Amino acid sequence: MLDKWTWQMANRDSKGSRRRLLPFLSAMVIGVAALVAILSFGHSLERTIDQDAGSLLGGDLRISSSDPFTPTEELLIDSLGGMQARRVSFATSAKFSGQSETRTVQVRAIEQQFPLYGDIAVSPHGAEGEMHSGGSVLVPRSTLSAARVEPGDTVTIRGRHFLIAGILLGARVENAIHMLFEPPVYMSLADLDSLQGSSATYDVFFRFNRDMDLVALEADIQKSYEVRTRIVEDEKEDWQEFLALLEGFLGVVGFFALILGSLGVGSVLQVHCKERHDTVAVMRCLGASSGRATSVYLVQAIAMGVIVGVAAGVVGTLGQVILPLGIVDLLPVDINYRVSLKGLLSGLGIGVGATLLFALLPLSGLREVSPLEALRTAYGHRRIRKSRLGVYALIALGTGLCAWAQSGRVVIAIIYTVAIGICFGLLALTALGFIKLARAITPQIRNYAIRQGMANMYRPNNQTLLMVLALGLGTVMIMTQVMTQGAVVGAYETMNFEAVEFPDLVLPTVSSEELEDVRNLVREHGLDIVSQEIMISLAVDSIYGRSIADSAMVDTAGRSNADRSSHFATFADARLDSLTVLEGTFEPEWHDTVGAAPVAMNSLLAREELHVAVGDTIVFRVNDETALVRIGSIFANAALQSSFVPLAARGIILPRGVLETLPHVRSIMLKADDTQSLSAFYGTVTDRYPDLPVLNVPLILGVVQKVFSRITYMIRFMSLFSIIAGIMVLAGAVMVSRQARVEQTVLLKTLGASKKQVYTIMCTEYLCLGFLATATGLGLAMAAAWAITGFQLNVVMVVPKVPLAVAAGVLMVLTLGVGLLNSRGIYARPPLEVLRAEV
Amino acid sequence: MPDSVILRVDRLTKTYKSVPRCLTVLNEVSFEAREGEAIAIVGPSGSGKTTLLGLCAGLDTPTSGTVELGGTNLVRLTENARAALHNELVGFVFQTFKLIPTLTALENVMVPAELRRNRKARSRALALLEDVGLGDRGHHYPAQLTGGEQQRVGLARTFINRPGILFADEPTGNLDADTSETIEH
Ligand SMILES: Nc1ncnc2c1ncn2[C@@H]1O[C@H](COP(=O)(O)OP(=O)(O)O)[C@@H](O)[C@H]1O
Ligand SMILES: [Mg+2]
Repeated sequence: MLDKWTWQMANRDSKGSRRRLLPFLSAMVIGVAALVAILSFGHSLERTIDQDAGSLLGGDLRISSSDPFTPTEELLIDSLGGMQARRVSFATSAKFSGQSETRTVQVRAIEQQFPLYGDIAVSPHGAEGEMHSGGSVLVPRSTLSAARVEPGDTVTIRGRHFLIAGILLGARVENAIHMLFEPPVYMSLADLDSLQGSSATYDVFFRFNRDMDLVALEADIQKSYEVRTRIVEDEKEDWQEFLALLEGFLGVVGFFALILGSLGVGSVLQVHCKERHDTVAVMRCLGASSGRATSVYLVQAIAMGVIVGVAAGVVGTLGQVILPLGIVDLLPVDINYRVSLKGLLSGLGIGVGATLLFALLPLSGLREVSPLEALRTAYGHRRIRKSRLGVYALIALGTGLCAWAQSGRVVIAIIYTVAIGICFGLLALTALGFIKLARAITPQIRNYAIRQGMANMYRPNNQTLLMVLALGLGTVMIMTQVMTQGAVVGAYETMNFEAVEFPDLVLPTVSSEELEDVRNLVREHGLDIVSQEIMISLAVDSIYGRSIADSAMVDTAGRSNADRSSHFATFADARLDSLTVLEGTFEPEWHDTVGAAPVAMNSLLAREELHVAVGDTIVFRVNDETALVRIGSIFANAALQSSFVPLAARGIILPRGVLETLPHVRSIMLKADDTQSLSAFYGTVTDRYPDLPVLNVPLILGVVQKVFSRITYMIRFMSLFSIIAGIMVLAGAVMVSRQARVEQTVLLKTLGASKKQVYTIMCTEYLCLGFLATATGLGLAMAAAWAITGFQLNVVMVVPKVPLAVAAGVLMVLTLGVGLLNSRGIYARPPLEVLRAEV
Repeated sequence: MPDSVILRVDRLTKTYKSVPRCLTVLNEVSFEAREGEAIAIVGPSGSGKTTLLGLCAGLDTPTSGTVELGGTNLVRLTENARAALHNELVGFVFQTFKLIPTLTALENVMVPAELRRNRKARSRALALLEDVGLGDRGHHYPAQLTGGEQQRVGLARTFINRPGILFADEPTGNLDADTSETIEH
């Protein structure tokens, strides 16, 4: 069927229409390119991580402990062999020369071999060697400039002066986000003994020459030793998780852009094919079977798909470089951008697939054309065949498959498809309703020009529905984003004004011995204590499932590191009343010394991490003591309130009464009236307790803000893709109806209409369209934002009126602009030329 | 075989099931046409001329009765066979010319020949265009031709496959008297 004639015809027939198809194709290209960009970037990143996982970890295996290794552990380390490098890390405050202020840094005392993979970038050359010869350190540039010092100056760490030998430019083993909070300072491991203080994390890194089953090795070590381990596979897994998150996140937007593009292509093909009905009828009279005649347009659709796919592959591959600009410096590796064959092929696949899918509907219409139509125009409506329903089902299936490929989860794919269906359905219903309304009220309008403009919205072959869908969908996306962001920002702002203000300083781990002295210091410097919560660090020892009661104990030895890590707990207090209890009852007090004390647990911790339910009992270890507790209730995880307000509301809340005897520390939050007393206090406390972490909240908030803004940048970037796609669809829709408009104008002109009247007609139409799309989009966006803020983020929705009004205005002006731009010169066209061209 | 029957219509009936009531346009029509014969069907507008023509040419299916075109019963023909028959045997002249607007005059004329993979499509089409006096207009699109010129291109297209039977539905209805004269020759 796809013989030479078909290709020839397809080519000849398309000559006049190519220019008109272009905006639609580019809309589709943008949509597919967005997906290709995400895919290619993910692919490039994954590849890079795969190659560099060793240098991210610093070795094949890392064994860590919060105490110096015991003799048995040293035996283990010896027996493992391979290349080894040791590192000791601790957070402490560093005081730079000529400065009264100090900064919290992460000291890394390393052996010369460290890291076993990759290296540390320093400046000037040779500074690393100088550091290893002792008495000097390497400091990141940002820390140096913040402290206004340079290499050659000195810094005091744990009571000893060090020369700053050079600038630490970067090290893959360092997490970029951690680096923002606690800049790493490198020194020689040999210098460690000369320092005061002892608390630290001890790591040994291994690099094995032979092929090792690291997973099995890790399990073996876990079984018999009390150390933490990490292998390259863990590193890869973490990044894959991050990547999946990123892809899912960006995928949504790319996906919408694609849908928008497909919609455009689908509708322009609808018009294109409708115009070809006559041609098909004639071809059939000349002896072409219906399949053969239709295949001419199938070929055109395939060609369009291939063009879209190839263009999208190229644009997307280039786009992968721009897409992650906002986060690229937070990534630990220099991404090795590659032309990803997978990306290119999937671009081609998605391009052809989506184009064909949306071409099915108009093509099936062409198949139904009867040759009799060459003799006289079709009588009435052709009945809608059942095959159309099949096409709709196919489109839904295609959408679902694409969503599934994007998210990797069936449930999400179904939710997406249904949500998109509902979204389109609502937009379409509103548009149809409005068309009906326009029909009803138009006859009552006195002014002829306005009446004609309104009537244009429902004339045969109108593009109203398409324009409303394209514009409306764009509006929904932008507005939802604006409102969600507004709500998040709003939540932060309201937090600032209420009783729970942000503190200026947080001392998260003040021990009982230090407590009295720290309180005195606070008083001396005239600072206010905002709160002083008791914090207990609990490590899971074992979990008893309720169903198996006391009979069986779930052994935790085989569990992963996550279950062994400690969780923060605090005691019930009045401020925690505001927590939403999801299950069970919250008991603030408990005086029974024998039974298990009922605790409240954060839903995220309970359900996602520990996999426990109300009624389960857990044995926690606190230093050398143990505590038997039972889950009394589970409270909602409030994502946005977690960081500062009730610090422990992220973890476990203990009842007051009997557990106060457990070893604990205090988390003290401070507020100062002025910066001088604040920095004076900061200096004194870090001088006296160099190892006591002190969090500078405004500094941290700045960092959070920074990370947050990077993420918004990416969302914005992707939204831009879909907005551009929307505008392309809009432009195309306007272009398609140009011919009808030209004819109308000429007719009106011959009947004596003035230029002003002609333009009033067009303005009315476009303004109505713009208003309709914007209003519908806004309504849907409100609903979406309400759902997201309410259910997902747990914040109160605020409607940012000004930005919304501006966005709405811009959209309406845009519609009008695109419309008029496309209609320019229409009035000047000589009538005869137009009437002749009428085919 | 100058007097062989090329079209045989037997008790042809066509009823349109339109909404208010059924409309029987043709009731048991029978006639024959031989090669070389010219038949004119005359009647007021709406009397069923186009309907009859559509049925005879196999563009539509009758309610009852049979049509035999070139010895084959149209009613039982598959779609592909019917298309082949149109291509080989039947030529149409339309009231509104029905040139394909997206193709040039030459390309329009070539279509039927190309459909049957005739290698000489282009040269034949050029010759035919020359015959109808439009040899130099081959690269023009229909919109650039007048009604009369369009009709002549249409005729060239009709004859390119040397049809055995020609169906013309009010061929001169849209033309001025002079052009009508020319066409009728
Ligand atoms: N598909 C149809 N449905 C209903 N009525 C039709 C249909 N096609 C034609 N008719 C009616 O059949 C009658 C004959 O039409 P037609 O064959 O076109 O007449 P003519 O060509 O002689 O003017 C007309 O009254 C027309 O309205
Ligand atoms: Mg007729």
